[in-house]
Amino acid sequence: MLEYALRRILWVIPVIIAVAAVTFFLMYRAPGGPWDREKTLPAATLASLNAQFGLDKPLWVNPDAVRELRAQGVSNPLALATAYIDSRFLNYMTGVFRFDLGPSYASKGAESVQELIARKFPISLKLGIVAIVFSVVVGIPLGIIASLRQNTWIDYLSLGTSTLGVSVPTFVSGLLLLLFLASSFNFSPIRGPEEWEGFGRAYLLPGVVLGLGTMAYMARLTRTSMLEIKRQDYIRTARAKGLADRGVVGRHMLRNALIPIITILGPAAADLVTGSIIIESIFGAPGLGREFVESIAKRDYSVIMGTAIFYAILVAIANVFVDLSYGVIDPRIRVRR
Amino acid sequence: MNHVSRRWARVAAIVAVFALVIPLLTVGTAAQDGGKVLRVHQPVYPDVVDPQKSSFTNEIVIMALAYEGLTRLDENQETVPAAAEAWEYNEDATQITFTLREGLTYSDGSPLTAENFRYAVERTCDPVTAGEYQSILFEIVGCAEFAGLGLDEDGNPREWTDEEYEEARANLGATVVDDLTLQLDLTNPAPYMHTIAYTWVFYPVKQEIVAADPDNWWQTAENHIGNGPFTVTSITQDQEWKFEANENYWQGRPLLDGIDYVYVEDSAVALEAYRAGDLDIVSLEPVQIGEVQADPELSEAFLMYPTAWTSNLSFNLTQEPFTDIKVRQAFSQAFDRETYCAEIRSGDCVPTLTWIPEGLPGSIETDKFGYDVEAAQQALAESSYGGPEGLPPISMFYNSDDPAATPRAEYVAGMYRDNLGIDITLEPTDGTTLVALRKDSTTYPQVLLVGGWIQDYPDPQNWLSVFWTCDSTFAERVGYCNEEFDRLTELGDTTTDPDERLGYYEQAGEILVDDIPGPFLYNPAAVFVVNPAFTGYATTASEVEWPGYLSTPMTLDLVEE
Repeated sequence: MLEYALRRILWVIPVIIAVAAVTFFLMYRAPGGPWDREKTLPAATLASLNAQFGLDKPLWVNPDAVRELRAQGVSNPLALATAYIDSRFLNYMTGVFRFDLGPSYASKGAESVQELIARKFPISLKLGIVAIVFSVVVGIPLGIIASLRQNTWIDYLSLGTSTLGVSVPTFVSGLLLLLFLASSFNFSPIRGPEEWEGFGRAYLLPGVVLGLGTMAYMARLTRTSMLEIKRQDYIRTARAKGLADRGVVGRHMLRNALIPIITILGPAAADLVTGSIIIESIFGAPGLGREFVESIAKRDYSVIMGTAIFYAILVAIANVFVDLSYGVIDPRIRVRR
Repeated sequence: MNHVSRRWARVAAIVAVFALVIPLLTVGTAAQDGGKVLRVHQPVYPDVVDPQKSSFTNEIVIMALAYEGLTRLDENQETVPAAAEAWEYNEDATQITFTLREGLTYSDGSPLTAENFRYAVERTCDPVTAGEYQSILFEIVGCAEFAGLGLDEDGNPREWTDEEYEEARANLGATVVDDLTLQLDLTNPAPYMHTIAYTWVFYPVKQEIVAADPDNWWQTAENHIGNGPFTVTSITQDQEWKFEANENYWQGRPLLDGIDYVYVEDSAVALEAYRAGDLDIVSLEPVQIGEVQADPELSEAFLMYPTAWTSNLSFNLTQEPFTDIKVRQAFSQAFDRETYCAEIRSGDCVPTLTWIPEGLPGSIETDKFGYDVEAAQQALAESSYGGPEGLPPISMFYNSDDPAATPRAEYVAGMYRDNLGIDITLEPTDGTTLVALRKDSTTYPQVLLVGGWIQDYPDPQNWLSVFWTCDSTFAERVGYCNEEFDRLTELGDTTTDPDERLGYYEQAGEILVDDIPGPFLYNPAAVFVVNPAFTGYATTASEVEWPGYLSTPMTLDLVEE
């Protein structure tokens, strides 16, 4: 079990490298660069900026630098090799392994990408936690009720709610909720800056809106899964041998029904905590979500890479956790060796 | 089934209901500050707030409160004394001498002298700063050379030595004669330098503060020790910048106690915050104009004025069919600017037929090549293509980042189909890609909706010489070149008599109208809802972010009825 866990965790590393490489070369395929402006910058300014941020280096490897050193009579293989790998991609990747994600270009190096993530991720994380807790605490009970009261009005109500949750996009539900509260409760749609510090009530509303879709999906999944198990022979056996209902539902039905839910919970959690640009912009939460989108439009290369790698790590780790948790929930899946 | 499973359902139902209701209990109202504090909505948080590095209006709007250049713009867009009480050019305008006011201080009471402004010039030209607006000072002797240290003669990147750096720095033509006198030597006659001295690159940041942390100093409120009418008191990243009145400002204390910039990305949310009384000024999206005008209360607060910005339908003049002036004329006369501004852009622009917006120095009046379908059809028939059938395929690019752009482009294509019988292919393109395409005349879009110019400083040199002369980057990439135009702007750029200068520029402006390099369409407007209690502001074309921050900071006030 331990060895399996370790192997799963180590596998994350090559996955991250592959994600980084693909993102890097795709990113440079897109036309334009971080210094492209409506009013074109003069050549002198561009040259200074490129030199400052290492964008004057070649993308992949640097044979020109080797040639230049050779011409100067340098033959030290270490110096030549160092010059050869002095490229944007390899410099960036060596930085990543030293936990240095580079300066953000838009702020002209005022902030490094790891600082940016450290500052903004906690806010997205807190929103995500509210969203996950909400989707689990509401979604699963809703699914259970619906399955136990199949084809009654409770079932239809729960189904209707979850269909609505899945199909209404967050920018509609978020804005509607905000406008409704503002007009009928004199609720200010702007949160004060201090409200995002700590883990206060400012997070509740956006967190709930963020979790609506996942909540609805969980409710539907729980219902389907419970209904399927309800008709299994072993449930009938359990009931036939006079087991209390609490035992049947809690021990036999729920535990088995949870497996597909756990499967989606991992990626859903990673998705929710990395932030949503729409929720963050409607509720004015200074999270990481908008960086994902805006950095691409700004061609802020280091932020694109940093956020992509960070997201990849989160998803990979969430998946490892899901795989490991199967064993805890269902002994049959427990991996030997 | 049986009663126990009913209990399960009940427990689940109670949990679900609680989870749904608890968030509603978080409803509350935001606290209000004391004093006369103006709360201004800003849609986009700035990337860099450093006078010698910044280039965007959402950055300048912050610095313009906390700092002041040697001159400033008044409510008539004229350049008036600020930190400098006077300036003087030499005979051929190749040198300008600024005389500072006596006893100027920073907001912390420390003295402000000519050296602080010299440092602003040096830091702007410095290749290490690599500020995006350094070229605005390239007419100061040695500035272009200092900034260009990173380039060799062929325009390839190179590394510089410390000696070269020190030499270039020493050769800069900015000299402190005494504490109150700053002299700038210019590479060519530049009788508009005193207007450039209003721009943000002249804002005198303190050298010791910048030197301590050159890249990141501006993120700390205490580091913004400035000489403007207000002082930065707190910065909350992505959320808020707060300012209070600067007691040490040379004009005295402004009427407002403070100004808050509140960053709200979603303009529907900002408008709701205005309704709730949390904001005094909200900048609107065009789509909101209808809603605001229909609302009895909000329509009272609605404010709109044209900005120093001209949009045109931009042609690649090196590509057929726009090499033919008759085709360009047809495109200009077939464009219904009135309807486009009023209906398609919800009234957030003012139609124009010239390049320099009305009210700015050097602007001219004309009725040439306005909307006239018959004349347009005739022009197309007179062109070398003989009519719509003879034209090569035409594709029109537009910035697809803006969701409102697609219906606008479709309207324009429909207008040309109806009026001229031309079928235009639409090419939606994301903003950054479009900027990359526009860098060179070989890739410049055949037709672009829209190109244009946003003013840096109100002098015709900035509108005409910087943009349309044969060797300017902007004219080069669309392929425009007219020697007579160049001759006239050159005369304007070098003549010292203000009225004579304007005469040359006006003639050059007429040539531009006659050449139709790309039909001039409209001046986009700044659109706001403004608290009726807000008074004492001017609405000049330079003030794109909110009314009054450049021209009238001293008289802004909140007066409760």
